[in-house]
Amino acid sequence: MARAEELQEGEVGRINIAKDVIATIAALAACEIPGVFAPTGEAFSRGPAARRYVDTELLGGRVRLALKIAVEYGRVVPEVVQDLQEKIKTEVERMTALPVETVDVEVTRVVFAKERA
Amino acid sequence: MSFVLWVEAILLLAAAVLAGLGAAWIPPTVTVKATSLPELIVRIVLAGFAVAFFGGFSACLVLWLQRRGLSELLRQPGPRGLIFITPHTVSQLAAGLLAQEFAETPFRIYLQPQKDSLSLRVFLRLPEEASIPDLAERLQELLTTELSRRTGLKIQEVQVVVHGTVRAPR
Repeated sequence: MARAEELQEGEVGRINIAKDVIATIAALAACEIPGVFAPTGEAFSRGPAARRYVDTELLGGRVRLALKIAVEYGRVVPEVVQDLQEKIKTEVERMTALPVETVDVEVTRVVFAKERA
Repeated sequence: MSFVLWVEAILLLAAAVLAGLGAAWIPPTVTVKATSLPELIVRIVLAGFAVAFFGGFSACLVLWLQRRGLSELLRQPGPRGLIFITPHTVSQLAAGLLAQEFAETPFRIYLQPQKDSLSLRVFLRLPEEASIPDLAERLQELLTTELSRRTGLKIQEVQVVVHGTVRAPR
């Protein structure tokens, strides 16, 4: 699957970062936030499959991310989402040096304890 | 879901236009199973169909506008980006709260967007020997406080509709 790449001018050449890489970083960051699940209700996988829930947009060297997630029942949704947004922004900026403009999050469902049992 | 609604709306509008055109331009007589029907009756029947189909189209449009209003309401700006809690998620959270409190009571929940807040309609069957005012008060208190806390949304009102009773198992 062809995906656009972001170019950065390094000291000795160009650095290309594929959108997939940014999506993978975001998905990995989502794994680390307690109470965040994939929209299927399963835990966010660490493989490439998790990228399908992350939409990456690169505009003028700035990153815009949109994620779909599920949240564990009993959690305060805005708190979980804000933690997730902060974590993704920090991780993507740390690993790619690209500024993250927005991280939009869509909570598509709730995951109940009995589903995970 | 929105796509299906739009397809339904377009099909209903097309059917309404066809029936309307048929009612306006029908030939003087139509033969149905060797019986000649008067022109006026055919026109009336087709016009009836046109009105019904147009009514269906209007209902689809109203439903779409309601869903759009609800989606807009559930989008909250955060410091790092938008937080969108889907209507399905809000319904699930409300259902989870009700199931904890009223385990034996079957219920349905509908969300309605207000100007800058949300209102809920809860349809349920009254448990045997339960008092409606007490039950409604507990339910309203639970949903307004807990759902607001868990979603960050302003819950303006919770309407409780009791449409039957549930007998306790003997």
